[in-house]
Amino acid sequence: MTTRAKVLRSVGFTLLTAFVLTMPYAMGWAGSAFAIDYGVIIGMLVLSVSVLGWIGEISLAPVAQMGFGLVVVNLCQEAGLPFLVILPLVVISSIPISLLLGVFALRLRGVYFAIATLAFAYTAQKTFFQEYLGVQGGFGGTDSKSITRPVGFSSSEEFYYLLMGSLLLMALTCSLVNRSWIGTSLTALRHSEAALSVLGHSPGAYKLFTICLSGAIATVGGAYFGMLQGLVPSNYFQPALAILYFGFAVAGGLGSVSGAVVAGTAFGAIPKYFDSLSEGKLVGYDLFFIGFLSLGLVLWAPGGLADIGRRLWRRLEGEAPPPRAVTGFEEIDIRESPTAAAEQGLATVEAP
Amino acid sequence: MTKFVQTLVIGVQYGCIYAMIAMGMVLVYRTTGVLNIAHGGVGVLAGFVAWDLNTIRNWPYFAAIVAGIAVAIVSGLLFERLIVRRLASPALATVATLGLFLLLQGLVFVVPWWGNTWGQAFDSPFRTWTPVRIPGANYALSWDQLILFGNVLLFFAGLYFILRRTRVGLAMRAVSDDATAARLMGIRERLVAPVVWGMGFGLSGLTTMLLAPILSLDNTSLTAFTLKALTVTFVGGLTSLPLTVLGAFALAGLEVWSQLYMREVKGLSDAWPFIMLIVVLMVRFARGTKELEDTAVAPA
Repeated sequence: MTTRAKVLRSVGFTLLTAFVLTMPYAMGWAGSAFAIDYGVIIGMLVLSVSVLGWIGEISLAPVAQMGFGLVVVNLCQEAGLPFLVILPLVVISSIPISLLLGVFALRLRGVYFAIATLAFAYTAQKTFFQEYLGVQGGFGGTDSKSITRPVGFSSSEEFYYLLMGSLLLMALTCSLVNRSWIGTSLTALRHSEAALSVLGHSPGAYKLFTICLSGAIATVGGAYFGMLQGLVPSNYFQPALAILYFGFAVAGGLGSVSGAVVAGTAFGAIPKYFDSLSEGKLVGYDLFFIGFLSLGLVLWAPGGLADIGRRLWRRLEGEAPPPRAVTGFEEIDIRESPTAAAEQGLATVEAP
Repeated sequence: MTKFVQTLVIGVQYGCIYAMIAMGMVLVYRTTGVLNIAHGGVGVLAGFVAWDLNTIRNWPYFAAIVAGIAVAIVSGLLFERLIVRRLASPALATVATLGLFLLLQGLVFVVPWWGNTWGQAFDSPFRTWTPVRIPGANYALSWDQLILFGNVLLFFAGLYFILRRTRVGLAMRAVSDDATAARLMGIRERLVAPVVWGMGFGLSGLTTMLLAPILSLDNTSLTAFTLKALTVTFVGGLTSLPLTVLGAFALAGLEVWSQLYMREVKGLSDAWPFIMLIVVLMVRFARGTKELEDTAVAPA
């Protein structure tokens, strides 16, 4: 590594750390810290969507998994459990739902898996959440009790540090997994399931692991969402929202941890700040903007914002930019080779 | 008996809605390998354009809906020309339709006088016609509902005929089966693809024009119907039109049946898409299909 690169990395890290630490106060002019709290939670959801890109699948169920996290937190708080006990329970509670989705992942691929997860999310919202949360977001009618934030994190500014810490921990975990032998196996899985099997690995186990990881992130995100909002109506878990979050993941760079975190947080928080600055006159513009951005990125930078950032950073460091990252989407022509389509992944293949 | 006939009639009515939406998605997927997630969004845009022309600018009703459908068709042609043609794979194009869905949803919100926070009434001239009573059902169908039913039959037969019996349909299927071989046989893929996208988006626009007088022009409810129709396409493996239409009527019938006869089982009517999906999977496994993979190449 050159001296210029070292200096740039140190400066970049310092600036990023300062920005992350002062965010709720630095953005105070644009709106309350609630906006950035919301953005960080959306960052968690987008990360959970993006992680599934590692096995080349699109899931529209994370919104439903988020809802289950909210319900678990409510039940745990009603039982009087402390936050430090609730959080592991939320993670554990995500496993059965993830395994249920995993069964579908073992048998379905591509758009079929996406449709299956959509049907699951739709059914969960209409049957369970509408019954449990109702239109107003109450738990159990008039005796309903809102979800509370953990002790010491009652204000939006304080809560931000808990949320950001959790998001960074999730991102770190995902990065470590991706760089470990598991990540290598997942890359192999995307390229050839048959070859991975021949090498003695179980593709199903890797798929289930990834779906459980994604589910745990979404469920914890849902738990935090409940704490942020207090009362959450069932329409917050509409399956159509999952399409929006998938759009965020595409914009960030499907399969990229840093891209998902940045895109999710930014696209989650910016509309809230705009709402605040425009006094609600700019509602709907975020959808238009994200749609436009997604189309542009699919056309000109399929690796998403993560790839653009990586290339720009290389240029700043004075090194030749890496070849444009591609996604599995670009490599597949399912009309010409159905088997290859199934075997190829959808995740971002990062350039060396 | 009256209740049973009512169940059938209402089931057919909802089945028509699902079938109309699902047929458009199957048409595009079967011939291009792209799952058109923007199907509902295009329809909503076309619907609001027609509503705007008719209600705000006082265009005649039929001129307005023709203009709305024309907007949908032109959107399809532009989307194919500017986006799909430049993308390397159908999977990437599927992601692009997702972006288009968000863009169109946002566009409908962005136009301030469309007031899309709630549904807009978009009545057809047939609203004033006397509803047709169904014998033995104590139920009357409006002419809008009958026209929807007629259109489902017409488009099912029409699409089936086009795909099976015309040179355009043959070219579509050939390109879908093997684009390279089709090119070698002299089929110009660049002429076939715009036809498919224009038809798909036009069908989406027409669907909204038929549904708006019945359901009102509402972004949220039309999107919800589209999502449910998406699960219906699963029944036909995203390729078979007859099975898709059958799935649409089966889903609608089960929903209405559980609403009328199984009221005590809360949430059952909404669980049917998922239950249906599991049944389809079990049937496929029973037939020895281990895995269901993406394939736009299906026997006609």
